[in-house]
Amino acid sequence: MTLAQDVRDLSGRLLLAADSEITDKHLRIFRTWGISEADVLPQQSDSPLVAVELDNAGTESNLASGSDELKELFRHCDHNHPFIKELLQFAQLHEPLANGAPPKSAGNDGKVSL
Amino acid sequence: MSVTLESLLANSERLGSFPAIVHRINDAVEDPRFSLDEVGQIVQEDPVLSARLLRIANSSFYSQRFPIDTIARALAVIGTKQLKELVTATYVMNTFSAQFHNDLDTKSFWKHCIACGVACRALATARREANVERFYLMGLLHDLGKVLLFTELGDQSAKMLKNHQQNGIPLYQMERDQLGFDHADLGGRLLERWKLPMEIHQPVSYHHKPAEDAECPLESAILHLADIISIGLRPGSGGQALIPPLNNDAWQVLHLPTSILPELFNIIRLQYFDAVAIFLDDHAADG
Repeated sequence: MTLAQDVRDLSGRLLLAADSEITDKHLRIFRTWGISEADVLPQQSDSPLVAVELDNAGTESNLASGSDELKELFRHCDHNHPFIKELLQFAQLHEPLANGAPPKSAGNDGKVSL
Repeated sequence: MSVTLESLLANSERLGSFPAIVHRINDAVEDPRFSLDEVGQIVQEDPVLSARLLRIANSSFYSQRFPIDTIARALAVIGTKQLKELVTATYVMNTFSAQFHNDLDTKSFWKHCIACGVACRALATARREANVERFYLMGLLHDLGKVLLFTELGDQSAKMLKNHQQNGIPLYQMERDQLGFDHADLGGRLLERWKLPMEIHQPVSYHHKPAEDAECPLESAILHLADIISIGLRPGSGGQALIPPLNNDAWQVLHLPTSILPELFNIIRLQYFDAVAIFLDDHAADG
């Protein structure tokens, strides 16, 4: 797959430039930085850009882990509020910070070199 | 004699004070006669501070392509205005941790504060605010009122915290009911007493009632949300505070699209580990 548009993080930092071939390493980096979609060039056609959903982006652990703890933690919150909804979902998908840093991977030290 | 906010502030000197180098650096940064090199020379008088600034300049906070290996380059990357906030942040934990009440878990307390600081910084970055380190400092210091309450009230404060953890009543609510003010009011006044700028002490005072802040509504909104994020990401090892109710006005003030939140939370998560390694040093390894 070839990237159609630059992929940048929230602060605008370039993670991967357009026209680059996307490898598994890039997908790992995108997941690390929470990028769940990227525009890629169609392989053999002149059709417009295609948005590809990166497989299982962000699913580091299963949803069930720590659900009771989270239920208690979020008991005063309106679970339908968009901000709370996103935070709860993120907390369900990721280990607590107290469990320590994720395994060393590209981007873990913030210096993504492609 | 009943406890008042003023009487607690009058005893706040017991918490300690900043070393002279903090004031010298702050004065030098504000004085146009000082060059960057001269500010760097003051920084280098403290090897621990020098090492920490180099680590900050090389961390995911600044994402430099090449290693920063001199204080002069670190200052160029960080910027002198932001240096003030980072120097204060660097010293505040060392200066005040020694005075913590036995029932207050120092490490968990600072981890929550670091997570809140990182979240403040990330929210400010997302909004393209200038001098994001002042937002980091604001988050780092937001709960200092709790330290003063614990130092001065001891068991009464510990009981309120226990009651909060067991029964889920918001801590600030119990403090208001029992004392007539809460840790946020006290912390803000303490920082004002230390002559920190209004953009820092005002949001600290209002982080549990952001909609009431007429002076710094954006900063208070950011701190309110960052506090919620930092608890939700669970930096503490247990017995932590429950997430306080979200004030929807604070969310509206930020004007941030919901779609950026997962990426934002991820950045906070990654930068948190860097910040703990830098600001809590040897405590980093055990999460």
